[in-house]
Amino acid sequence: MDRVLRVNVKKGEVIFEGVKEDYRFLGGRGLTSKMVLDEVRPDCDPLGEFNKLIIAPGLLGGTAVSSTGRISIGCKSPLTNGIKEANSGGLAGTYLARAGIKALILEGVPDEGKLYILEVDDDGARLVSGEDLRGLGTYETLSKLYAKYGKDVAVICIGPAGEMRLRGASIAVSDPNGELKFAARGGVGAAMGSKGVKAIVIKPPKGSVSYYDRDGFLELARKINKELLDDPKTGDAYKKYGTAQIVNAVNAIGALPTLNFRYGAFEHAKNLSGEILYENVVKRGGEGRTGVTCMPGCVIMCGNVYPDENGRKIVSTLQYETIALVGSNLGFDNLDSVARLNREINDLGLDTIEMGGVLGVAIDAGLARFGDEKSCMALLGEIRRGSVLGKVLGNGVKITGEVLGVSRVPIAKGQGIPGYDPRSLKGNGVLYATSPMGADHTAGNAFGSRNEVNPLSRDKQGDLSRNLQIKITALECLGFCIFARPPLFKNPQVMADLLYYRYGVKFTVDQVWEMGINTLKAEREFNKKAGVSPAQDKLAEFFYTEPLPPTNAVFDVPEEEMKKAIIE
Amino acid sequence: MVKFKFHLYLKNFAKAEEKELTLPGDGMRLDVGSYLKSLGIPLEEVGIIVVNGKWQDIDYILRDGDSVEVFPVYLGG
Repeated sequence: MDRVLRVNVKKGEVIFEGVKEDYRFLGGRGLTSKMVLDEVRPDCDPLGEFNKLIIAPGLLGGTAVSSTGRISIGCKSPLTNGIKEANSGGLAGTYLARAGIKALILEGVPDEGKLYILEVDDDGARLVSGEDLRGLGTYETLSKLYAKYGKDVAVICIGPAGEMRLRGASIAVSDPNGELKFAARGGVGAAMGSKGVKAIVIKPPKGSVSYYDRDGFLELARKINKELLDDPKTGDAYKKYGTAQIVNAVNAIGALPTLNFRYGAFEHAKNLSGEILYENVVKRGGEGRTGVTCMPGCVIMCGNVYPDENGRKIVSTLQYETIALVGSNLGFDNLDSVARLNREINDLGLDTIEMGGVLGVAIDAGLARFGDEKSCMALLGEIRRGSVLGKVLGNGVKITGEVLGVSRVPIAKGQGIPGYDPRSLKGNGVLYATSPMGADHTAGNAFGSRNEVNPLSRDKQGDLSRNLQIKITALECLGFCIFARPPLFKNPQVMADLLYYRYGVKFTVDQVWEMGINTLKAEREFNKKAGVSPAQDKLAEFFYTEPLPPTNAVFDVPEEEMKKAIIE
Repeated sequence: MVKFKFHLYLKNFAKAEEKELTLPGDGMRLDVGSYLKSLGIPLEEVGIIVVNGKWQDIDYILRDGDSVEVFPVYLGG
């Protein structure tokens, strides 16, 4: 029987509750966002006692179909002051689903100075002292927790940035290989830090998910998994090149963030490409790997272990957004520097997208130099030390730009822009401005669409983005990774069928898409009450006025077109 | 002469990473989609076409001297 695990860190109370009827067929982002709307005061301080951190697997979490183990983490965002859902791969989604925990809620704020670990197992859940982990980076935190609880546990944890409640902080989630994945965006790590919870440790549950029609589900799951393997997009390219496969293409359309969003193409982009990443992994050998899975049963396997010249692991997984924001955006012409900065940002428990934006702004302010690893690393060192400068930087692109007096501050709704310049990929400009999530590519990336809409055109971008936002949000309700979408979008009935075999309730395809629509509506409603929309449905000003070489485009999608993407 | 570069797995369909095409000199118009199809590249696998550094539609008419980069459909990054 599904339950909700409610943890009040002020009272030290841990309660299992039944699931409200309204929530029965909500999952993932659909559930976290509805719960935030229902339970969190929109005007609250996101780092205060009235915010809640809500963690939920998708409706198909823990099942046998590929790529459904995503874990959604929602709250009022300390970064944007609007609603936030950040999701991640790793083990936690699968374990929570198998344990029948539909949602885990952290609420209240602890007595001054308390730091906890939340243990979850088949006997229940409890808060224990996390003092031993105070100040530790995410990697050391994970290894200490493995030593204490065994390597088969799922860990959700924060680094020093989350403990310091810095608004750029992420939440790390352990995967089956003992690596860390990140629910990175929107400062969810600061919200977890404000609850005084350093880590959540979930022991492997004995149970597994139940099926209304197990044979029906398994047969369809096998079919979908095979389609994913047979498709060159998911069966081949991701296994070799990971998400870095898109570097050359984004560069070719002139949308690759370069030198703090001054240019849309980078002369050394090829050196940062998935092809070079793959070549280095093969050539260097040792611990290097591509085709690494981040969730149990995922057949796409887009992860990697990126090695140094001696074959020793630098970081896992080196991926596109980090390469764009920490690579070309900071003027680095080699993946090794990007990988080392990536590892440091991960260990601090920060978002690589936000920090790439921060370092670009800091370089413009004269605090470091483009392409200079040492000066960038020194700024990350300020964050670790908790100096005043470090606290400014760790609080994200917006605050850094304001404090340092920089005019080119790449944000939308208070959040750093990800790896597609909205001037040359206008569908993503619409997304960043209109999505309840702010500048978040995962909410409906127009780069993923076929060659249908000219990325430079002012037309059709509103409908394109609206459609993508709805469909991607629906996937996030089910727990699917968005990369698994080819067989799902080709025949959306399979999603309804999977739900039927799992729950015994018939859904129409329209009802599946409605999960996306209803979620977006709930998020928009929260944001309006929190004062985040519609005046903030905009990009930073320079995107409208400063032409971006080599396309020399500005962001010029008309207001009427933009409005088409707003779902309310 | 038109130069083509096929990225990632599209080169498996085209059986080459790069190709050169001499356009028929008889005034016949050739669009990029028809040429890709003739090479055995399924058009549903074609994501982005960039000609001389600019995004172009699948019905773009090829011109002598063009440099064409063909990228597969991507699912995002």
